[in-house]
Amino acid sequence: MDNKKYILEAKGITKIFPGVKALDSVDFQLNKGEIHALVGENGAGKSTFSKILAGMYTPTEGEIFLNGQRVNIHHPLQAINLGIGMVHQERNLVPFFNAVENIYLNQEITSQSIFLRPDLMKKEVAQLMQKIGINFELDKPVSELGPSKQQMAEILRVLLLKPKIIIFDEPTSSLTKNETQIFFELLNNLKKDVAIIFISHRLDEVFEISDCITVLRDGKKINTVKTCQVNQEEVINMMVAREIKDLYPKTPVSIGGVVLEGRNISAGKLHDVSFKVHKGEIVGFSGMVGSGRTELAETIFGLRRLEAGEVIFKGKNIVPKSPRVMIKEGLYLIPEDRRVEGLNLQMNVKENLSVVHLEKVCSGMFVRKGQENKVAQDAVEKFDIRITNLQQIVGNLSGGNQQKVVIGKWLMEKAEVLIMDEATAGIDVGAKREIYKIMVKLAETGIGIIFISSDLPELIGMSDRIYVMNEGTITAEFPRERFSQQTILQYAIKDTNGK
Amino acid sequence: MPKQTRFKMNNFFSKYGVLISLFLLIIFFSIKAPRFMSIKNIISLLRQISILCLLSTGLTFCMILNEFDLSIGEVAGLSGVLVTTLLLAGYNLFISILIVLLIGITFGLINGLIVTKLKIDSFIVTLAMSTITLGCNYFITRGKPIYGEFPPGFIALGRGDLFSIPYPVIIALVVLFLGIIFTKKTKYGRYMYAIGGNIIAAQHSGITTDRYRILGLTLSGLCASMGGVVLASRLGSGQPTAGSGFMMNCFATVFLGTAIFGSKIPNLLGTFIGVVIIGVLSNGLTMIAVPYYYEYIIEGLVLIGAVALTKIQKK
Repeated sequence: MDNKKYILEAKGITKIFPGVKALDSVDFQLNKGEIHALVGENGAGKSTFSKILAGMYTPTEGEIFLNGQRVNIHHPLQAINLGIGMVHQERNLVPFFNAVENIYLNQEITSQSIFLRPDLMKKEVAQLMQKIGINFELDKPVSELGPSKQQMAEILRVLLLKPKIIIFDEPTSSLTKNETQIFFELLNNLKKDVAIIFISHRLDEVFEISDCITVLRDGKKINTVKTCQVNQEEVINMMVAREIKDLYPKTPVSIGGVVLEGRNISAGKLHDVSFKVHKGEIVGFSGMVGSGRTELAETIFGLRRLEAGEVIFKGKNIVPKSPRVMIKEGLYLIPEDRRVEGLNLQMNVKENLSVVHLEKVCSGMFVRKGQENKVAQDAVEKFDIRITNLQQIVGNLSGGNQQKVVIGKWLMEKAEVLIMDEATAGIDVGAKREIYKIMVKLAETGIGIIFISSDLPELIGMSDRIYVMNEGTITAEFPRERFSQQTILQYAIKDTNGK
Repeated sequence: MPKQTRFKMNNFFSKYGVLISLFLLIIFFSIKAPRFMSIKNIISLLRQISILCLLSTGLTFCMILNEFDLSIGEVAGLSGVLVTTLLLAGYNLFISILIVLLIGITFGLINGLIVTKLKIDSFIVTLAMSTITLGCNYFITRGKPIYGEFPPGFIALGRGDLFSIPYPVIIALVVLFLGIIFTKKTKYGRYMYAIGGNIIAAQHSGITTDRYRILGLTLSGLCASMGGVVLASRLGSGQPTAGSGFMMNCFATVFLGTAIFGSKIPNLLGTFIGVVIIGVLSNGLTMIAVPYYYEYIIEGLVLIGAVALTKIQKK
């Protein structure tokens, strides 16, 4: 009776994976015309829950009602037929297909139900785009489109199915501020016809866009609240069960001499980039996606060829020929995509931790188990990696813990400079704070840190100094006392061609 | 500025390098052996490549799906042996070919089922299958060729012609043409490309990926056995080892095709051009009397070169 008014209601959803209770009798209600945010730390069960709604997992226990009707969803197709669409965090596109081909994948318009009609499909997509007020190239392979356009394609794909409910899993994680605003306008437009479940780590965005918030923690539902009736701090406290008073544990450290300096570096789209990093200093690099920060990091680390300019490391001129050379010198990079570049997900924690330092734990050609265990155990303790044992497979750890393994893997050795490229992207507030703590600890021991992040509050909270990059060059430098979100942003998005 | 022109040149070569090298090969052989460009030789060249073309067409279906089929050569060999055995046992031509094609389909189907249901890499499954097939082959032949009186219809299949176009060429081109329509114009082809490009995306779109992966390997088995039947007919006998040499050349053709026009993905038109290149090489080298062992070396180098070309383009 009562559930009649909800477009979707879930009752007592429990999901048990081998060894883990991912969801523990979660109740959830979604009203028509609302944007309902789902928040929680990594591993809280948001993804599992949304995947159950989208038919990718079957719940171990519990019931789902649509408009008061009990439904069973065992397959993504079933969910689609019931009107539940999902835009995933990972892009699920075929890279060499164009947008239309991707949007219509498995929904193709055909003649004689066999032969494709690309002309008709393109027309339909163009109409749909016009209706919701977006526009981008339809003929290029999607791999040549930017992340926001790829996401538009994903959204169009879901809209094509005329869903009544759309689930967005971390939709803004690859978008710039501007693109996020465009995306939010789109959401507000869509809201008239569909109910939206919005999963995000970025609480500012949750507060900006959502009508109500459901907080999950450790697989349990903590509360559902109206967004206008709470503030961020209250939500964070629900998420982590402990009060985070000061999110950024930055402490003043004594900053030493210059440890790393780049002079007039040019490489690829970088041109004439000069910067300095002092001992014990956290140097933030701000900028939009594509501004050249990652390229700079990779150039210093020896992954890209330095075309012009000099790198001065510990007082001597050094050519960053290869990562091997730089690692030997004591410069480390924690890459943007830990899953791809930083970790072997199939291997266990111990093996991941010891792989860069195998020489140290080997006698002759044989790995010495005891040594390896000891070294790994040290890293686990030092960086507070939460695991049940060293044999745990890294792929099964939460994002925050994976990131700690990456850091631990590099910092078993004495580093001089550490580059962190979007090291906190996609991990939850609690884990972020622990990464910050590690950063502070490292800075205290005199390590210089290059901290690349698109999360401006975190950059401001943690850095001693911030460089702003824009289109391959440094456009501004700010000392800590002159940090201002607005000014930094201005320099990051200013059209450099215009001046 | 000079850097940019160099980049454009690189781009040009990686896009059209395959076509240019085909062109250069033809010019080279025409100069070295004037007979090379004669109508007679061109027709015989086409006849030679028709079997490779059939097998490569099948392999392209697999490679579009990002699957391998290493068993095609041996399935072709077994098919040739089987069809001749059946004919000598007195079966009707039509029935014999039908049975053999069904057996080819069955081998492909088994490959597909093992790959999808037991989730074993197609590389391993088809590698094992090729040995199994060779074993079956030797079980039937005891390693000896199968000779005898075959019905004239069977011999015509490999040696006859229509308006002076050999039957094998017609068969290969028809299969190729149907394949192109299937992969480029139908939704099923679209699904196969989608699976090869991003299997997760395909699954999330509700495509029954297993079904199409099985289909790809099955088509490959079918094409291989068609090739085997035509081969036996051309040879006029069932040779146990006749199919063994094809597998590597097939891979070379598909990779050449992937590199052509910078398309970066396997496609049947490209495969066909790859087939022509291999054919021109093999025919031309024979014409200018290069010892056969060099041919193997060159074929190996072509395969590596073709794959290297696709890698360069992906960068």
